[in-house]
Amino acid sequence: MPGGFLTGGVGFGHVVFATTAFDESHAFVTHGLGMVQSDWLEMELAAGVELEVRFYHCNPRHHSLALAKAPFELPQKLHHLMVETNRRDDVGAAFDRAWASGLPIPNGLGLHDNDRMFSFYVSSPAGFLVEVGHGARTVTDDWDDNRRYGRISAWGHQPLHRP
Amino acid sequence: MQPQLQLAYVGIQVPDPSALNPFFGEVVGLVPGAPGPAGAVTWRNDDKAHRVIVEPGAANDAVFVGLDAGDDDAFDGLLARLDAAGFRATEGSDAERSARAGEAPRPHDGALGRRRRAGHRSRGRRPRRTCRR
Repeated sequence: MPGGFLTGGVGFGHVVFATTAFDESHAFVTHGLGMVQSDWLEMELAAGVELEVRFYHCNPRHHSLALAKAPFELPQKLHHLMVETNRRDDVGAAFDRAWASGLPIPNGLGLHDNDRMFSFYVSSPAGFLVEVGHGARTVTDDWDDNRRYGRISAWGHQPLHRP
Repeated sequence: MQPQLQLAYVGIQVPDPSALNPFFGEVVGLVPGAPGPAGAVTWRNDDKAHRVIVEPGAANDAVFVGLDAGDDDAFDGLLARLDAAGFRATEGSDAERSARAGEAPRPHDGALGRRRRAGHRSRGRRPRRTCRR
């Protein structure tokens, strides 16, 4: 990646897991590991299908870990890992590589509502996703924006279909 | 902000780690990390030994997460916190110590049902523990 990745003092990125042991996992992450909830997402994906995701920070990165409540055991608990570039254009270049690879792109370029990350998601051959992003906002010691979001993205992130 | 943990690495298990080489290297843009043990392939996005560890196995999923506590005091504080919350720490094995490039991990089974490793980079001088509920 020409401009490198943003990792200094904030870890390599973030990971998001889907779990049926949601309440226990939340307790482990907060009471055990001492991470702090940054905010959370609650929305209806489809009629009768609710999505709940909680985002946790342990350094200035908006979230290093997130947990999604899974209604049943999924084939993979790892939904995605994220790496953040130092330059916005490197996200675009990575998107071009992903497009050229022929791999599925379940989320095209877009901007997340809560962390304001400009990013896209590409499926790995193993099934889990990798998010490549740039420009997320950071959290501070006086973080006071632990609130509910009702949408994943401010814009974009639609699934892309190849011709 | 307490504590200042950092996400150090994630361990992923797939039947053929080399099958993900084009993906991580050419699509995502990571660079090869330190050699892994027993067929594992590692990747990094900075100067750390590894950030993504892909090991051979049947899980086809993440199997552990590594967290860096930063220093010995912070690590001891984290262990105390985990203990107070009801999560028992057990010591990592020599094999795990070797696999983590000088730092001995403390894998533990948290509520996620996945092994979670809390460690810090004291280069193996201190005993390492895993945490189980």
